[in-house]
Amino acid sequence: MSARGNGSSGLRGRIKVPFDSIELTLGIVFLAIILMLVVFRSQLQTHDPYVGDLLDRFSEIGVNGHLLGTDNLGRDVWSRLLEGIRWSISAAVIDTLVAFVIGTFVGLAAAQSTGWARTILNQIVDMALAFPSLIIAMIVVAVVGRGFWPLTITLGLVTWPVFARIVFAEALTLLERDYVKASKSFGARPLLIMLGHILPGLRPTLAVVLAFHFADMLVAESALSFLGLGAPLGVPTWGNLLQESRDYLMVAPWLLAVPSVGIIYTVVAVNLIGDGLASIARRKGLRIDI
Amino acid sequence: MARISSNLRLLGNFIVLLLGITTLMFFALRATGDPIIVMAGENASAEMIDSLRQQYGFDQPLLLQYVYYLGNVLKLDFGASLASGQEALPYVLQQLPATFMLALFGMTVTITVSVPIGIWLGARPDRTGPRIVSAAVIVAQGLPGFVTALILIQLFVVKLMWLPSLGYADVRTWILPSVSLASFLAPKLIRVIAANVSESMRQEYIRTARSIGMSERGVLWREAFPNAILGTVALIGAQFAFLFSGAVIIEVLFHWPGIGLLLFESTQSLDFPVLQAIAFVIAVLVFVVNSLTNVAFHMIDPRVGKVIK
Amino acid sequence: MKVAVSNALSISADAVLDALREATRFSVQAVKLGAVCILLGSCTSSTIGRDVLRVGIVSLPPAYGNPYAAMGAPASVTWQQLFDGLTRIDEAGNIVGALATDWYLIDPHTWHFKLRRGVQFSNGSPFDAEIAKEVFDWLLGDAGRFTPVGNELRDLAEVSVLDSHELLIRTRLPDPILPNRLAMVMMVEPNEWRNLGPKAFGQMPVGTGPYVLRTWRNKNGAAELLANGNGWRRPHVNVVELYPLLDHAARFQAAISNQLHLAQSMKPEEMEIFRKRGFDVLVDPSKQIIGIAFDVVGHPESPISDRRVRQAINYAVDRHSISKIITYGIHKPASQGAAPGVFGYNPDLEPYPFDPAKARELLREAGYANGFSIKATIVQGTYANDTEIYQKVQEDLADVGIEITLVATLFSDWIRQYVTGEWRTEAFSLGWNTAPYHDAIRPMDYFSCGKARPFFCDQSMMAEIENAATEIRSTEREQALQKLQIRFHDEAPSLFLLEYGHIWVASNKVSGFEMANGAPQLYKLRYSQATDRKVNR
Repeated sequence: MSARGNGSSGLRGRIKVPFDSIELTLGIVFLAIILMLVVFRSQLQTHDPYVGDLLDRFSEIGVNGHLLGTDNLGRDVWSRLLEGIRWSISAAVIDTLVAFVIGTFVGLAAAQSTGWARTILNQIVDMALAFPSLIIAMIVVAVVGRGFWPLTITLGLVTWPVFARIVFAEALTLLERDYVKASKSFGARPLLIMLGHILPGLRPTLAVVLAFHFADMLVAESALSFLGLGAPLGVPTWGNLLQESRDYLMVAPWLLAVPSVGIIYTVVAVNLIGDGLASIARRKGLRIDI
Repeated sequence: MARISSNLRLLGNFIVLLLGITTLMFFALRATGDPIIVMAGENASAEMIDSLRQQYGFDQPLLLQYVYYLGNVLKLDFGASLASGQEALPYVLQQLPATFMLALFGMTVTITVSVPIGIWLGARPDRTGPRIVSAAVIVAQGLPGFVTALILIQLFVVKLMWLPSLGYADVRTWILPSVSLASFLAPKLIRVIAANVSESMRQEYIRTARSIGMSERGVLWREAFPNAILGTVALIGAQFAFLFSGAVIIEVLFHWPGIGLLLFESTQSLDFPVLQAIAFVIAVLVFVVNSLTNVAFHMIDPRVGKVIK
Repeated sequence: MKVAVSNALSISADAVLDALREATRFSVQAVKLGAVCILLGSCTSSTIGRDVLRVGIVSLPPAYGNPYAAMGAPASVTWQQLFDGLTRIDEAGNIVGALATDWYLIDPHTWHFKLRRGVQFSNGSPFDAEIAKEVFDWLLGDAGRFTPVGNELRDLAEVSVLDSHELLIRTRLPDPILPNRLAMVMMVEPNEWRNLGPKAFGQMPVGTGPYVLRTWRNKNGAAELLANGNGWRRPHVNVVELYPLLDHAARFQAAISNQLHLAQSMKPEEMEIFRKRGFDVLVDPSKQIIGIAFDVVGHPESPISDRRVRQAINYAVDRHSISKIITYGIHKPASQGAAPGVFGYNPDLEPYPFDPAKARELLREAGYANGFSIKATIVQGTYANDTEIYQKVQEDLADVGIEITLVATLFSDWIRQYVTGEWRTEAFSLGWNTAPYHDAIRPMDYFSCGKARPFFCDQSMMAEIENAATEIRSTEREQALQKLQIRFHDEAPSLFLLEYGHIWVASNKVSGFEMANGAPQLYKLRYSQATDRKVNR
């Protein structure tokens, strides 16, 4: 946690804070540390994350050269944690993007259209919200099996209505703005208005929602793993690490603690960025509802 | 007149929603596997499977099955559970009280905790105390709900043996699931309330209220607080809707006999009728909650009606 | 339509009212509880006054109380409390009487059963030979033969009544294990069965077992059973709750915190914790062999179609370490498709030794010196430690150059592939399950051309298998089965792993734990004299 001290005091003291917000700076520093861990993971890993020594099962933290102990198959938890960053974070990034793209598209389309078209689009959003997400996950796994893409697509498919709702509501208010009305009266094409006026106007809101959504997705991966619908077996994603730890709460509690700390750390980093963006936006006079 | 037509439109939306969900469920479920084979068991002969297929009507062409199914759904008949033999809809509704309970208590705890903390954080965001608590809230947001549940069970059930963790007949079993849910829902609510409060404290009219000599406390409670609440109604509604669709993992961990537990069990046995009935019931509940949320919106602030439609 | 709508509305209204009632009850009780806590300064005191035996199981049977909807465990854990078969397989694997007291062969095709006298169903109607015949006739008829249990009786030709308590059963081929089979055929009350139909009967079953069902799901989410007043055995504890806890962690936490008296399928590493807290640990004596089978029929071009490769895989896995370290020695390394004590087990066979050099040599001979990669479909949670065991197998095989990808899937997907024979992967998790009959012939049947849509089919073995299935002389039959064990060991249609039996734990508050038919005999359990009669909740 020394990163926190270095990040704030050091940066604030010597250099000008590169962004208008301490939270944002701190969040970016946190995230940068995670990225460094990913990039240099092969140097930092002390053991092969996939291979264990059965005789070295459940070594406690710091024992036998295992920085964070070993798991039920004697695999090094520190090395697995590092290996998992890439998988878990890129999954969270991609499914946030999937949800973002679908949601923004549907939301904008609904805001732009009128009458029946809008009703239908809103109905689709309502339907997607009311559809049990566990069943979607089950269908994806049954049809294509467990894997990186099934997981990301499932999470994207389950969560896009969140974006659609927000984008729709925000876009409606933006459409009422004078400059939008003006360009409409000059006969600008709807598509042009959406891309040229509405989407840029949504930027601050979307940035915040994206940051928070990413955090949610990181947590959601572990929930899917819990139900046997997450990442493939044996891949050391954080969700899988948590899932595997559940059976050994009394024998090896650190197996639960380590990935939890990893997830919390990342969520904090991303939340700081989200908060920072929100406070900057606020200073510029925009109001953001999460 | 406008009122009636808007109610009619709402009803129309509702019917379209249910139709869409049931249709989607019907075809999507068939992609997940073959319940007849699960039912027939490992040593089933082809003959046996054919006979079962006939018995349950799975031998008909898909579209015909769909027409029959739709006809039955109109009569609210989802067929008998493939796993238990019980009629699917009553079976699901039987689980509803438990899920209601959990949602009610989970939200009660969530709101009781979130509102005061959120206001406190929002009123004085720059002091040390609120800052530390804010940080703790962010940390809590990163903890998956089931991890909290596991830790709580480990602590209060296994180590201290103060509380039981099975079922919901005993009142003491209600504590941990509610707290686990709250630990998962409260951080977000706290943050939204805090953001809204601090936002409204900066508004023009608050400054006006201060300038005419209203006390800090009065400003907070009479002006900022109602405004902040408005911003959270949507989130509270969404959280309720989430809880009604079954907090699956929490219900599994605490063996809470609600819709989530049934959903989990039914996915294991590919119990199509029950899964369809669950989707139907959840859709109805979510719709009701959303409508209530809208009504609450209108009641608190008539202006909103115009924007959201 | 109107009726249905009003029904549904009234049900939902009931649900809402129920919820409100619960809420009121909660408030009242919470206040009471709070008062108790303040007054006594402690909240740990128990308020449960009833004597209830609480049992944690993996799942309730499919179709609940319809005992023909599945074979063997885990369904039998529940059905054994509600029903009896004519026979029973006791803890030592012997076939003993249940509703039949005695039986013998008249000729190779005909068995004579003497039935127990004075037995009544839970609704008071008597059990006799006519009743038994009615049940068998249903199982052999058009509806019954397509049930999993009826399917196992497909070689029965005829059942006839000799007198009120004597029954003749004729089979098409000689069936040496008929008494074993009948241990899995529960006797239902035929009038109720006929009047209600299988589905409704499943909701409210009527049998001769020591317990009767009160409800399949009470407020604890448990199935509640009451002592059967008309039963031919009196249980010691009058109320039983069966908790279906599919999630292992939830089951473990409930057991270790003394919320359960008895819990099924625990993990070996938990044994020490249980023992320290005064639990008894029992391994189910009816065992099966954990294995990974090869789909030779469906993947003829794959390396696994070569016997040497299959043997190499068996040599490459260190099952002794798996046994010793992952299962703490509780589950022994398997040498064949049966465990000791099962009829037809060959005591002379040794498990494949751990010999990576030999494995590499066999792979070289087969032309795979540089290794290869395959996939295996597995279902997690069938056995308590299966995921770890498969992952260890994966590591061991990697050491000899075989890359095996584990494809975890849901049981519903697994069984579809198993029944249709259309495997997406070259290998899949499949046990050698001798448990229902305690006889080696059953798994041999599905590891052969005898299975509909087989995955391993060696025609040269079929004559021997058929002989072992119909040989009526016990000694000859045992020898035939033991010879077959050697053949299967050498052909290696599967990777033989461990001899597995579910681990049960019993709290020291109860005594008299005994297994039969893979199920605890709950009626024999009694509260220990010395300890508190209540479970500490």
